[in-house]
Amino acid sequence: MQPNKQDVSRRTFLASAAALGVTCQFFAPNAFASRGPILKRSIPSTGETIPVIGMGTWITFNVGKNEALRAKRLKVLQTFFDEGGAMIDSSPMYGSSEEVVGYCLRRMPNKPSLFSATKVWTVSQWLGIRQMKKSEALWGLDRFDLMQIHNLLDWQAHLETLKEWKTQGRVRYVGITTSHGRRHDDVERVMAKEPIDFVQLTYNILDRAAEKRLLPAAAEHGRAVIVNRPFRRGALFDRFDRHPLPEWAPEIDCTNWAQFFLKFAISHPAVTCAIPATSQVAHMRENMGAAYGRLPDAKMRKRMITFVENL
Amino acid sequence: MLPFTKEVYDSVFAQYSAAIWPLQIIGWLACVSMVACIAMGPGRTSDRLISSTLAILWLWIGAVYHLQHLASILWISDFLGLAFVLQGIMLLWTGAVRNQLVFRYLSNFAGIFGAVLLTVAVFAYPIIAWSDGRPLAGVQFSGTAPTPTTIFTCAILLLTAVRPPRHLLAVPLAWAIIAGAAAWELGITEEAIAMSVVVVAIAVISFKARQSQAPTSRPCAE
Repeated sequence: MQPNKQDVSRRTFLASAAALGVTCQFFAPNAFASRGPILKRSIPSTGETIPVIGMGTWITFNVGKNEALRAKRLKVLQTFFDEGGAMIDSSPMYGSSEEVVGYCLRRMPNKPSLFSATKVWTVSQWLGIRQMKKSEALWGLDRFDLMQIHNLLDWQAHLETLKEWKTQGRVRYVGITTSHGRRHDDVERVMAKEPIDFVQLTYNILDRAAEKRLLPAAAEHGRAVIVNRPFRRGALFDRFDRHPLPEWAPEIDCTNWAQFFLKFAISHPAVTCAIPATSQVAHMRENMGAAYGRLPDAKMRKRMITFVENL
Repeated sequence: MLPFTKEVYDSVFAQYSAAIWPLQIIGWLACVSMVACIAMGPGRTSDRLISSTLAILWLWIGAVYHLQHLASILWISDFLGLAFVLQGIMLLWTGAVRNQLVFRYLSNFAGIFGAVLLTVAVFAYPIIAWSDGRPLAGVQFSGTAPTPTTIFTCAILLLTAVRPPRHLLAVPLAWAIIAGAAAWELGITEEAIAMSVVVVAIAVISFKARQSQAPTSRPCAE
C-alpha cells in the first residue's frame, strides 16, 4: 500500500522530533504539562478562568442513535478533557448533539473540568423554559454553567427568565450569540444595556468584522467572548491546508494550520475562548495544542493576516 | 447548512428501514398496484382507491419517517412531518372524499413524462441502490421513503385526465426544493437532479389543461 501524504509527513516529523529529543514530550498522553500550563482567560464578570480552547458540537455530535458513531464521539470528548479542555457548547438547534453530549458525559468517570454551555432557541418564555429544562435532562445536569440566547431569538423573553434563574442559582452565567455576522447592532445594544456575562460571535482570520465594534464593545462592557467558526466551518482548511505553514510558525508554537487559525482567534485581547468542533481524536489533539505555548502579539497577528491573504 | 453529515443521514435512514422492515416491500407493492390500476385503463381503475393509498403513504412517511426518525437529527423535520401528514389529508379529501382526481394515461407530453417518472420512482430507485451494494433494507423504496414517493406522486399527478387541484402540489414542491438542496450539499448529485426533475414535473402539472380533451369514462363523477 502506498503511504499517503499524511503518513509521510508524520513519519518525517517523528524522525525530526526524535532527533531533537522531543517526541515523547509531544506525543505521550498527559504530557501537555511539559508544554507549560494550559492557557486560560478570565470571565470578566467574576474573574473565574477557563481554558482558551473549548469544544463546539455543531454537526460533529449530531450522530443520532448510531452507537458506533457515539462511541467515536466519546473518545473525542475524553481526549478533550485529557488535554485540559473544559467548555462544551451546544444548542437544541443541533439535532441530537445535546443528547449525544449527555450520553458521552454519563459514560465518563472523570470530567471535573466541565464548563457546560448551551443555548435557548425558541419563541416565548414558556417554550424557552421548557426547552432549557429539556437540555438539562439531555445533558444529565442539574444546572448549566452558561445559558445563551441563540441568535437573539425572542431574547427579551428569555433574558427575563435567565435573570431570575441566575439569581436563584439555576444557571451561573448568561449570554447571547450571533453567527454569520448577523444582527451586530442588536448584539452591541444588548451588550451595552443588559447584565449578560458572555457574548458568542463569529471570528476567524478571514472573517474579522467583529474587530470593528463587537470585540471592542465586549471589552468595554466587561463581557466574556466565545468565538465560533474559528475555521470558517472548515473552509480555511480547504483553502490553505495545501500550503505549508510559514517558517516562523514555531515562534508562536504552531505545528499545524488548526493551531495557526486558533491562536489567531484567541490572541485577540477581547476573546475569552474559541470553540472549534471536530469528530476526530487527532484533530482534537491538534486543536487543544493551541491552548499551550506562546500566542501571537499584535505585530505577529498582522503578519499572520498578511501571510494568509497572500496565499 | 445541514447540521449532519451524509454518514449520519444514511445511518438514520438505515435505522428507519430496519425498524419498519418488511413494510417497505408492502409500500412498494402498493405503488406497483397503483401503476397497474392506471395501466389497466378507465373503467377498471379505482380513482378513490389510488388516492387513498397514496394518502396513506404520505401519512406514514410524515408520522413515522419524519417525526420519529429524521427529527432526531434535524429540527425542521417536525414541520416536514406535519407537512407530509397534511399532504396525506389533502389527498384523502380531494381524491377519496371529493373524487376530484381522475387517473388516466394519455399519450401526450404529460403522460409520457409521468410514465418515465413512474419507472424511475418504482423501479430505477431500488435497482440503482441495490446495484450500489446497499442491503435490501437500506434501499429507498417508493411508498416508505420520502424522495421516491414524492417522485411517484408527481408522476401519478401527471397521469390525470383533469388537472389536479394546485394545493396538492405545494408540499411535493417544498420537499423537492428542500431535499434537492440537502442532496446537493451532501454531494448526492443524482438525488439533487431527481428533485430538479420533480420541480419541472410540478410545473407541467400546474400548467396542464384545466379539462382534458380525452374521455374520462367516469360515470359516477360528482
